Amino acid sequence: MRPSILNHILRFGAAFAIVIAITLFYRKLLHVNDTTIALTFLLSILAVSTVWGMAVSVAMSVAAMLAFNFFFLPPVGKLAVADAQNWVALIAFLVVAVLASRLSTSARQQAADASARERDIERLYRFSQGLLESGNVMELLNRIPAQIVNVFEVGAAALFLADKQKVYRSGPVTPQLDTENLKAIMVRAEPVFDLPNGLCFLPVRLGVRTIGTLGTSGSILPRQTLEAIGTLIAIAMEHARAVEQLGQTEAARQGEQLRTALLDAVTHALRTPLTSIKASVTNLLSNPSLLDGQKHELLTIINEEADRLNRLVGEAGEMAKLDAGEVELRLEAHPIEDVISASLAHCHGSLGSRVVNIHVAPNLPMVRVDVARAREALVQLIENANQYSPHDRPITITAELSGDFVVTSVADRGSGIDDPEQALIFEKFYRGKDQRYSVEGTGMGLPIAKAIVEAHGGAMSLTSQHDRGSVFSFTLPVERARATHP
Amino acid sequence: MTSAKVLIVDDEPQIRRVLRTTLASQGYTVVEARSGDEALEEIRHERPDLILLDVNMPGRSGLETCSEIRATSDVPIIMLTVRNTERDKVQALDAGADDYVVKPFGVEELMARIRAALRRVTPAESIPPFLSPELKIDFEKRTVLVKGQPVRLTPKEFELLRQLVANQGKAIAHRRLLQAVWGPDYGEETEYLRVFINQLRKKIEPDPGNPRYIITEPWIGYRFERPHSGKGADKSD
Repeated sequence: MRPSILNHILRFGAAFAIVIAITLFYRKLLHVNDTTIALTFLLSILAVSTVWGMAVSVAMSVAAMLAFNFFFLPPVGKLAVADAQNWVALIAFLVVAVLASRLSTSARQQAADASARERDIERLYRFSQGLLESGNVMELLNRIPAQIVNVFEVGAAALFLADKQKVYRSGPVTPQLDTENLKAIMVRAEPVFDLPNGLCFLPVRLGVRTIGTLGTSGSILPRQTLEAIGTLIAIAMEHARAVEQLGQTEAARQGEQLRTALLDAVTHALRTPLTSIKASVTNLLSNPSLLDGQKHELLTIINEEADRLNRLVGEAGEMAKLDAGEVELRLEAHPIEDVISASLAHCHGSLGSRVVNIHVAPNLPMVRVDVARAREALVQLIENANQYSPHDRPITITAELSGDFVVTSVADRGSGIDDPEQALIFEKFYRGKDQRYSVEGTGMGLPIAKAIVEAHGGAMSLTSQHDRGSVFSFTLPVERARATHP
Repeated sequence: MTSAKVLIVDDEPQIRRVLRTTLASQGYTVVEARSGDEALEEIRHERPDLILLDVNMPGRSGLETCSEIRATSDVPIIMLTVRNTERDKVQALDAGADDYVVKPFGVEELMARIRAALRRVTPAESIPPFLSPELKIDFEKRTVLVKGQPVRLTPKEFELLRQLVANQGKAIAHRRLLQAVWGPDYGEETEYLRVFINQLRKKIEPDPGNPRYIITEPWIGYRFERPHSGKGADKSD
């Protein structure tokens, strides 16, 4: 911003050159009276002082006075110091130089200030926009320092929060922004500027309460800007906290609804096999005229329904665990082929002679997966495809890369799934008022598969066309860390 | 042994299996339907003598199916429900079911209810027609005319009305009415009476909220009354 030394010397040189030029002009080319010459000097000093500032113009005033005295005032060719005219000229030159340079400097300063303020406001606006994009407090806290570094072009930023006793940082490691310093500022509760080291510290206040400290290094931010940043941080944190709380209330309410639905569904699901068993047993007990074939049929039903009850109880328990996030995944790096082959081995019996096509894209990265769990999910999809499509049509399993995920799909050529059902098929225990959707078996298979995939950080989806078949897909995250450090 | 034809309507294959085996072992002919729509189809083709109808089915629900069947047929319907609450029972009876069985049920209970539902076919002793300016009931022809317009009654409603008219002017106890209309195994199911009496009143009373024919005897039962001729001629409705 400041002119370099060379620049300075050039400006002084130029000022003296102007004085010499004027002197030569009036000496050699144009002879006019003294007043016109003095006015010309005055005008040139005015011009120089406006553009190059006080130091140059003062030096120029002195030079102009000397030139005027020596070359134009009688006795010409001699410095007549005693002459009053001399002093008047000098004072006039100096006053013009000082006043004009002052005025122009302050005008320039004001313009610079205004544009700096405008820049700060624009930055604060961008900063506030950036903060409002965060949905939750954790994301917000991690975002604040990075936003400050990016938007305000400081070297490093650190935010200390009292209630979390934690420092969130961005930018290069700066020893001065350590936790102890930040804590100390919080206690002092007023901004601190360490100009030699380029450090700013600001207590972050919410109302009258100090909730933390912001520290920046690299360049000094104006105090007003810093305080505005502090206010924005406090507001954004309150906002995020309120949003988060709203979400938690909503989640609690949904959890309650889910528990009711679960109880309802489990009651219904348990009662169906119980009905078959009870009817069969009472018939066996009370009806002596049963034929052997009929007795056998009833006993078979009892056996099958007992198995179904057992499966139901197991799955309800697993669903509850998945819901509560109590299932611990043993996540390891595996090729997706491991999951596919384990699933196929498991389904071998039920698939029978069904044609299964497998397309795994070449050079797929490893996925981060609990193979046993992922197998459960994939088996569910394969079993579904097997159950709901004619036996002479093939099932196709594909695996390919999509961004940071490996997508595994199971496609059947069955009759497809209607739109209204598509929306409900993953709903846990969906049951309408007078109807229920029940997948053959227990009705919990798909929700469990979905929950397993989601526990891995993936997602499950369905596309289906009437009479064309259905494609169930799920994603598993690519193992990054282990891929680079085997 | 009977050879009545029973239609089983349930979406659960295992329940259909049990019922099929059980009913077949008791000598019934069995027809099956997996949904309400299939049931309506089967009724047209097979003309069953009795329907076992699951309340809880995907698609057209049991209650809807029941109302649909009742629009065209008097066939006895026994509902299979899962919930044992007053509201569910009343809903089933309101939809036009003659009876219901709560899952899980014992086979003897189900068989008793099936026998009771089929029992009405045996003709009872004949009683003379009831004739008043507004209401005419002919028990021989099984017709009811309200202000000259024929009214459809289900077999259970008709049987109930017959019992009430046969004992005109006398209160009949809940238990006696239940046993006379539904069968000897019944007696405690007063909600049946509430629902059926309500439906009867809606069909034959000029003002069902203020009944003149079928009078409630608190704590005892119901009584059929011939209204005074002055009121009977009132055609304000």
